[in-house]
Amino acid sequence: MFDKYYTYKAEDYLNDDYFVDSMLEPTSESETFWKILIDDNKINANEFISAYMTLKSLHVSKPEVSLERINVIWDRITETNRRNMFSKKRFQIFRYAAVACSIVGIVGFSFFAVLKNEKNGHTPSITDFAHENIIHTKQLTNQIQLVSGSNTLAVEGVQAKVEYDANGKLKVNKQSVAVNQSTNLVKEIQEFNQLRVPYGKRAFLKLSDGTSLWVNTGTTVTYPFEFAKDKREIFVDGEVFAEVFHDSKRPFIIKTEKLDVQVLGTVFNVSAYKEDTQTDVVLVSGLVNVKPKNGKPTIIKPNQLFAYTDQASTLRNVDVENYTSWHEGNYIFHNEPIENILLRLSRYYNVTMKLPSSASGITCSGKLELKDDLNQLLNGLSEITSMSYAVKNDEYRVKFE
Amino acid sequence: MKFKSTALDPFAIHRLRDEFVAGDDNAYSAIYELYAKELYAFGLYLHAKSEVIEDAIHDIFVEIYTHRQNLAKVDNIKFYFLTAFRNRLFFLLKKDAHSFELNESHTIGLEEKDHQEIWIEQENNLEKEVLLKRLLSELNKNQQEAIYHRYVEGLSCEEIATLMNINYQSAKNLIHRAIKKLKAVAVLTMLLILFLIK
Repeated sequence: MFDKYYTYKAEDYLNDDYFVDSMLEPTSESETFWKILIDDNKINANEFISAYMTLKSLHVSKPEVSLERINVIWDRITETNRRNMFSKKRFQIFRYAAVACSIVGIVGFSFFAVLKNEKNGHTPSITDFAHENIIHTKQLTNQIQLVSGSNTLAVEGVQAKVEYDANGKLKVNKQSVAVNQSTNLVKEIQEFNQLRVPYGKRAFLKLSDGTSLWVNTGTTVTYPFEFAKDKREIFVDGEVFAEVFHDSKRPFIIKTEKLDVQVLGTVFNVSAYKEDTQTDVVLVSGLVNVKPKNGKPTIIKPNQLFAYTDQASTLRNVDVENYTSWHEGNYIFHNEPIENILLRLSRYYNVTMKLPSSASGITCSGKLELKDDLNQLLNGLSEITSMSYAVKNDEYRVKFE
Repeated sequence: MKFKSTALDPFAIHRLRDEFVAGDDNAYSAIYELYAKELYAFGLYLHAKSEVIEDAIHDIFVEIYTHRQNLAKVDNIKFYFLTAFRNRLFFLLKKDAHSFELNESHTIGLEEKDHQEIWIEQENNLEKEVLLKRLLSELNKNQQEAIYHRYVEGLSCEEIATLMNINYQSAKNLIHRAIKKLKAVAVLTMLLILFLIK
């Protein structure tokens, strides 16, 4: 096995796994192996040494690390772990207390905490935070969750009402949720709360500035513990219907994956599901300014729809009811492709639907009451169109004849 | 001939891992001591800012503390932490508008000026600085990272490919080309090293 080394050049050694391994982690066996080869003049010692020297010089490139910094990081780590454990324990205690008032679980939320991350000296943006935390939403527990720092409050039922008053006091489904003021808990690292609504559920969120958000199914809303002095920013993945409280000094900005919607005080609907190619903004009243990440800002007037895809954006007049009626539990549509209707229903009821890959060309107009049973709605659609469906293994398979 | 001081036999590392997963905090700190320095050095080699490196180390060790089970079936602990650290570091660097631009292929943002300054500060040794600059300036950023993993961390080509999100052949080629270039300066390297290393 060693005769291959007889003709080795320095670079061959460096490409040789056994050579590299025995230089990095020598064993008595490997040391003997190389010693014999060199002593017997079987290999070119100059090439061997040259390879060894190159390797060694790369080790000189390994930066020096001060032990002191390593210890400083360790202290930070143990402090964070201690804090996380502390809030977890608190979570368990409250959990039992909270069952009695039909809310499942609670934690020492630190709603007053607007502490900057002092260690870094910079504040993570809401978009970064949302991106980092949004993934959890869709793989989902099937409960609506309110997340604050490392704490999670799960709310049972299909609908949740989450309301903050002007002082940041929180009510969930009209029950006050004790806000913990313990100084230890105020030191949250993360400054944002998140309301995560899985498919099949809906929520109403009243923010501390008086803004109301109807949060549609499969949506995550990220909002700060406290709004900044000069602006109110939230991040939405999914769909919300917003009634923004008028405050000319603090513009309200809804950030989404593809665009930002800036308003002063107005009523409008944003549909920005990450998995959808199109982002829709529909305005009911007031005036909004839409700033796509790629593209020029556009002012939207009432009864207009701004539809944005990576390729193009369009602005046209629409019947706003079609886009906003969901927040009242209805679904109104005019000349809507049936595929779109079924997609919406599958989200609303959290079921999987398999549709034919080619478009059916069927469009429908009408109104569905979303509190009705899904099968009832589908039967209705089957009656008026050529659609038929079957349920197999919890999957709705749709056909058009 | 021994380069590594922290080498621990695989059985000892797996024992530490199992103790940690079972809830032993001493094992946790032992694992930290074993790898933190190495991760820090790698971060510095990439010329990341100290604060960002420290945040990244902090984040991954906090993460593993609450999700110990993630480590339960991991065979190569060092590789696990290196991957987690690299991902976290690149994520934080991307976030930090003031730091280098990182493109999709995760090249390292090395600037000649920074390079020089940091090395002077780091090594406080002009000869070493000249030598390294000479050596590394021959290589592109990906080659620089790859040879560090191969010859300093001792990772295999497969592991480097996984870590750097490239295929096996690309990793092999990166290292191969890097060596070819290094060879050109090898004579000089040798001369310099003879003065530097006793």
